[in-house]
Amino acid sequence: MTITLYTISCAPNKLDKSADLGTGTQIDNVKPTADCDMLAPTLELNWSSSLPGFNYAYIDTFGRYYFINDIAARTGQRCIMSLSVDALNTYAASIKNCYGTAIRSESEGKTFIPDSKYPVDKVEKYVDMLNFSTPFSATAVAGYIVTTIGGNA
Amino acid sequence: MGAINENVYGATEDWVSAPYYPDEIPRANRVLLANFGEDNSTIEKAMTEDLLPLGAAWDNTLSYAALGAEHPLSKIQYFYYDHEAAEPKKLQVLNADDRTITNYALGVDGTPGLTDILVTIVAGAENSSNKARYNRYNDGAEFDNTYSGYKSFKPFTQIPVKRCILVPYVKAYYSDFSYGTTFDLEDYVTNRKASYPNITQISLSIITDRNDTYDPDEGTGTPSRGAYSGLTGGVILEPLTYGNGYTDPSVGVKTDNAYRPIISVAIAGALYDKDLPANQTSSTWCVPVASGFGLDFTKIFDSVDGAINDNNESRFYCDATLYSADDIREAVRHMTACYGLFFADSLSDAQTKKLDDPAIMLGTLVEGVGHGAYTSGADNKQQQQWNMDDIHEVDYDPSNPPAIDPNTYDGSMQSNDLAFLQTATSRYNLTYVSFINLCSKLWDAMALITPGDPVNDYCLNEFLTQNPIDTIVSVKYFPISESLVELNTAVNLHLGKYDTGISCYPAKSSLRVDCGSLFIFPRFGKNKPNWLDLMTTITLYLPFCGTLQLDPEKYMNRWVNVEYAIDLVTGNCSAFVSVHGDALGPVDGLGGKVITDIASGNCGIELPVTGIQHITLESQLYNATENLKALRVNGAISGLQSLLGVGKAASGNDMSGGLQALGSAGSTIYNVLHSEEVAEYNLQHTQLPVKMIGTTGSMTGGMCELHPTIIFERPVVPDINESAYAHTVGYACCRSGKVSSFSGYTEFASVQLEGFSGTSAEKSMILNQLKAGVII
Repeated sequence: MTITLYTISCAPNKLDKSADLGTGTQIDNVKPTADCDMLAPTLELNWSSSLPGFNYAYIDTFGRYYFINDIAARTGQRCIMSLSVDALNTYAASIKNCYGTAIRSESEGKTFIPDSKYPVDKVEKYVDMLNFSTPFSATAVAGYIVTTIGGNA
Repeated sequence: MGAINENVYGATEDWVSAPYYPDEIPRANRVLLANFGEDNSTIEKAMTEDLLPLGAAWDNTLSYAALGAEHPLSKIQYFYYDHEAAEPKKLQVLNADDRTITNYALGVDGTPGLTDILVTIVAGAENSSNKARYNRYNDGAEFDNTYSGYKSFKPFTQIPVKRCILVPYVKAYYSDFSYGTTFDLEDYVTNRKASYPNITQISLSIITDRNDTYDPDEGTGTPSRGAYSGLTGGVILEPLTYGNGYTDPSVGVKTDNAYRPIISVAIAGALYDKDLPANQTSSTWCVPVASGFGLDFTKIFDSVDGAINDNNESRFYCDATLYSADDIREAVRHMTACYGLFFADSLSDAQTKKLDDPAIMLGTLVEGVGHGAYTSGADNKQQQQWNMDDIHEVDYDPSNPPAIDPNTYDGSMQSNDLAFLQTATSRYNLTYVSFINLCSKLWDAMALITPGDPVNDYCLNEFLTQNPIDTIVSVKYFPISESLVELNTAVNLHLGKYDTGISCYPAKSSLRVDCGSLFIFPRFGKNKPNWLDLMTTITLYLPFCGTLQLDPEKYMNRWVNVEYAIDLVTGNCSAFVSVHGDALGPVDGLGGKVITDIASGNCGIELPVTGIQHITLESQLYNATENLKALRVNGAISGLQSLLGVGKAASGNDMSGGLQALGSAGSTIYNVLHSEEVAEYNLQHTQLPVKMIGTTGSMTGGMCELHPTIIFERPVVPDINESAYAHTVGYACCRSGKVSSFSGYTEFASVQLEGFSGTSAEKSMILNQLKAGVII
């Protein structure tokens, strides 16, 4: 089988890595080891000094993307490459069209939902004050009201 | 949602696309029209083919949503106008629609210029050539081919919600109605309102895609849109009341070109002089008019001389001078928002702006009904329409509409003065100096008594009571800088009928003072509060009334108003705490004011007043004097004095010793002398009985802070790198939508993984990773 190797620097949990792949390196004469698991394949291929620089692969036969977990050298200029499927990137386009409910998000910003992970000082508080205008005055000179019986007011 | 009746409006695959769409625009992204046969979308064709009836409302499956009770088209009034009546002509309301919801269909008119809603109420088996008619109640109506008005109307069957934007247009005239034209809303309120104060129509234009480069889901590309050929109108798909009570339905509503009601506000454009059917013999007209969201379109001109004349004007318009530019802008936005589509104030914004641009708004539908609310900018993504391809995906079935709450919830609360409150006492407002004078006057109340007159009669006559001090009910001091004067006419303070000569003013019995409003600004949220703001403790200190804890959920991002109501009779005061303003943002206005808290206290400082209690004094004086008189009449004292050659003894002891030599006769004399001493003593030592009015009131309230004060205790957030936090931990949220509608670090509670063929192990893997957090 033929595989394409890449070097990616993005986070493994990035959903769509297509923009990070760059130009891949095609490797021929790749053989699966006996009982090759499609989700965690082990492949035998010719050793190359550039191989340790790759960390990502696409296996055309399986139509999937993989993380390169390990490369074990073998005699006869061959090596064994252990991979695990990257289901996120493989199905990125389809996953994007699925509906879900997010509970944490970078793009939403702070909402009304209390965030237990957000650091808030339990003890210290900022104190501010705002004054309204007031009808009261400590120097009111005409504040006396006398109520009498009879009279003329 | 209900499906469009294809038996009436044609099969989905046969719906007609406007010819001007560029080929690159896929069919799914186009506005499509009904097909009544032979690719003909006009009403005329539909009626010719008997697909749409005369005399009844049309099939309402076209209605993807409904207009709420707030929209003008749910409240159309039909004014009856007798053209041949003597001047001044009168308009009277003949009928009025009153619906909680209104099903409708959008569409396009074949004629150029702004098209209006067709209410299918055109009347008249008349022969005039300048009328358009579909008589709902007369099967004998014929189409007038000389007029290409409503019969060329073409209803929409497909509206790609993210591929078109509505723009409201205002038709307005000079103040003398000599010239009028149309402007988009932005242009009108910004530049034209002063010169064109008479609004006669508000209608809509639909702006659709001109290229396929803009992807609203990804936010990529640049929108390019243009006005749909022939502009947007609409049809009310409901029975209308206009003809109810007519004895002659053939002369029902006459809706000439100038009278067409409008998609957003049904205004009968104008019964202008030049448009009045002066050559008509039949003169009864019924003009549909509707107002809405604060704009009143029922003011009309006199048809004869063009002057405004209340009660007999015959021209409908909305006087824009009565409203601010913001009033008009908001009213028209609310009308447009009821349609549940994207809209913008200006044509240029509609042509070029992305759907999450602040200039683009989206009407909110609640169970498929538009009530006038809308969002703008990034908030548009929160609405259901953001995830729709066609507006008909709205969950609304016109044959089974939702029950509508009939309440408009436009109540408000306010404090009031008691206009007819009177008391049976006299109340005087004194200054500090006047009050001091009064205090001294209380001791001089008896000064004018005529010597020898009975004290009791004097008191009752002058003071209306036996004790002058009892004329004073209370004396209070209010530490208030506001005027306490009821009338600015000075009077002398009277105690009963006694004029003290102290000049003062009649005092109010109550006082209401507005301490103003303050905005509770969300310190942590941007333009709206977030959960950190809700952790803020808000305390409101109210002078004389104590403190209140304000719930941040109720008060954050709103205006808080404090108003004091003070009872100047008892000194009791109540502080009314209200919240008002638009919760979506800071609005300085008293709309929607709600009194949320009331605190009570007392701000009147009771002052004690003292004075002579005269009646008691009088009786004491009387008793003392009478005893002395009796003794002197007896004469015994004077005789003894001369006999003994002694004066009045200073003490009983000495006297008794001196009189013992006189024997038994001396003891009698002693007793008489002793009684006189007692009588003299009593007279000289009569105590002044004093009475005090009032108790000493607490002044400590007046010695504390006198300004209502809000005290905020806000949480302290350590200095963190918000960007790094957001990208690695994310902010707590709860929103549902397509995975592609999120960006950056995102953790999902759950995702419905369907539509692709991964193994179950892979889907399980994907779900776990989405729950643990991915970067989109």
